[in-house]
Amino acid sequence: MSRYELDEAYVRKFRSEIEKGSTLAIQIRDGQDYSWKNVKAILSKTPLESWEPLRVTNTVSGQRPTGEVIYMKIVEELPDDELLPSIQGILNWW
Amino acid sequence: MDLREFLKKLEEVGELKVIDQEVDWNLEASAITAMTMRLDGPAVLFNRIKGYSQGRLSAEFFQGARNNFWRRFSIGLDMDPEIKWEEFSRELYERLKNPIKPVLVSTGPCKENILIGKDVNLFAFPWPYIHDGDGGRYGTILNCITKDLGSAWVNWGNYRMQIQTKNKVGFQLGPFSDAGTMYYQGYEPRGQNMPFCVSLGGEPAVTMMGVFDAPKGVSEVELAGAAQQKPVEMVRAETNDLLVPANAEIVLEGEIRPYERMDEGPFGEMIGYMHGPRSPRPVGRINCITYRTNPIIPFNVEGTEGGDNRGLTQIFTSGIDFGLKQKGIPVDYYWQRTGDFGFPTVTFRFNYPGFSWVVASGVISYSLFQWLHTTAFFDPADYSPDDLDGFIESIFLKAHPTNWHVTDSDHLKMSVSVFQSPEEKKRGLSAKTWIDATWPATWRPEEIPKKVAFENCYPAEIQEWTVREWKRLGFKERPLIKKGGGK
Repeated sequence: MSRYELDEAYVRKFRSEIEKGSTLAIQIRDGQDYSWKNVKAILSKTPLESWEPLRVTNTVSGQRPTGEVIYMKIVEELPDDELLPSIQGILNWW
Repeated sequence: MDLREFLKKLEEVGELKVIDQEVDWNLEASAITAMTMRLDGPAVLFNRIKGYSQGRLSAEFFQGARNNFWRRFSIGLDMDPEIKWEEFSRELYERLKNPIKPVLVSTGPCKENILIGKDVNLFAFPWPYIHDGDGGRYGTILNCITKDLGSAWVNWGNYRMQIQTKNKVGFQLGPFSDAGTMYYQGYEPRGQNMPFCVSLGGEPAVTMMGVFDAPKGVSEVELAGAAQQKPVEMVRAETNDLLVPANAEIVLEGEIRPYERMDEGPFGEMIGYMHGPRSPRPVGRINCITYRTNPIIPFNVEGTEGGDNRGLTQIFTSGIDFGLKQKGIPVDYYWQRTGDFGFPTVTFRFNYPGFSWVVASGVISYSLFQWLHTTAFFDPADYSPDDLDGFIESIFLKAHPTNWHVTDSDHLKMSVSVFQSPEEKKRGLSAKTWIDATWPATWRPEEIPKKVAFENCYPAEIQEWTVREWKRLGFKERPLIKKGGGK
């Protein structure tokens, strides 16, 4: 069971960065207390040892799992004061 | 009467179920609440929350039964619990006509515990996770207290509040909601932080008036005093100049910085659907939390089986009634229940050609109508808020097709309606409609068609004979005479 969730906007927008193994600033939701955290992390579509599995969700009509799982290695936990761009901004939706 | 005393009163009259068994804040408390609402059951107080040594949850303490949704309001305002809706509504309006200023006291129960700065941790309290699919845990029954930058106006408003991090919340501030107007048109363009306090609990009138949409410039705290016929006791916040209800269960003190946004939502909204997508909204940074020992967090399960819609939306939209009457437009406003949501309706006796346009303009331009999109007008003799069939019949039979009016598409609309396209949601706009089902003012009384009904088509002696003979003729059902059925 994944503890953290990630919006699929990141997966769609940063496909090539994920393939290259680039470090991304992302917002994840903690499934234990539903808090949101900002982290710099590397994402992988294939499981790697000791990497954290993330449940990918879609937020259009609810925080719904897409069935996809992606793996994360946290490089840095960002200060709580740092706000990341909106998911809708990332998608140029809003 | 604070929230705790109010809950005791509800328990005494069988309107509250106290649950001492441990319940999870994560969906369990809201699932039980959704079920009690479905059954027209009691409000709920959850005394033990999983994972928390302090903090309780109380749900739907205003949500009465479908046919008596105002009963708990009347208990909270020390009115007769058996009062009829029309009397309750009239009494509340009479009280609100005479605002009562609050009194400042040196301290109060909300100051029993204080967390400031780095000690602030919102997750120390059992905020509920209400619907599966929500973006996070939410505060839904609260007063967000803000002050207008250019005047002495202090507003209380209820805006859904997502607990984002241990010291941040996200607010759904509509652009022309009262606090939204203060922020987007006042503080933000001037590059200033908007101080705010969020209070939860306190006197029932305090919670009610946080929901009530008073006209801009009117401070709800004075209306709360009027509603309970006693001034609300207020104390000064620890970290800003705002005053907060002394009897609140929890007070969050913070600020909203200009042009700072964080994604908020989705959330199961009062309209009855999950409202998304997750979208950028103003961020409340919390600097201080003050609270009563073992505080009670009030919440409601919006959107399901009545939820907000049965009672609180009636109170919320009663602001339209208050505002129109204050403007001298002689109408009565109702929240017609239609299944799980409702329909804003207006009745007026006074009429002249074009008057319905005056009413439509007043209703549609009212700021809280940004939550709504359609309304209908009736003659008071034709309308009863308890008669859904009559409501539908009047719309379909009396409203001339040319009296189904649609405005242009550029009216303010909160992005919560399922019919709104993604583009409309982005822009926060929609068309509005209003249906005039009143008889035309130019018709003479004899030109108004007579309704074909038992009460209207038979002389009194035939009606009486029918009722008298009914049982003797072998019918088992009791004859039904409708009050005003001949209209």
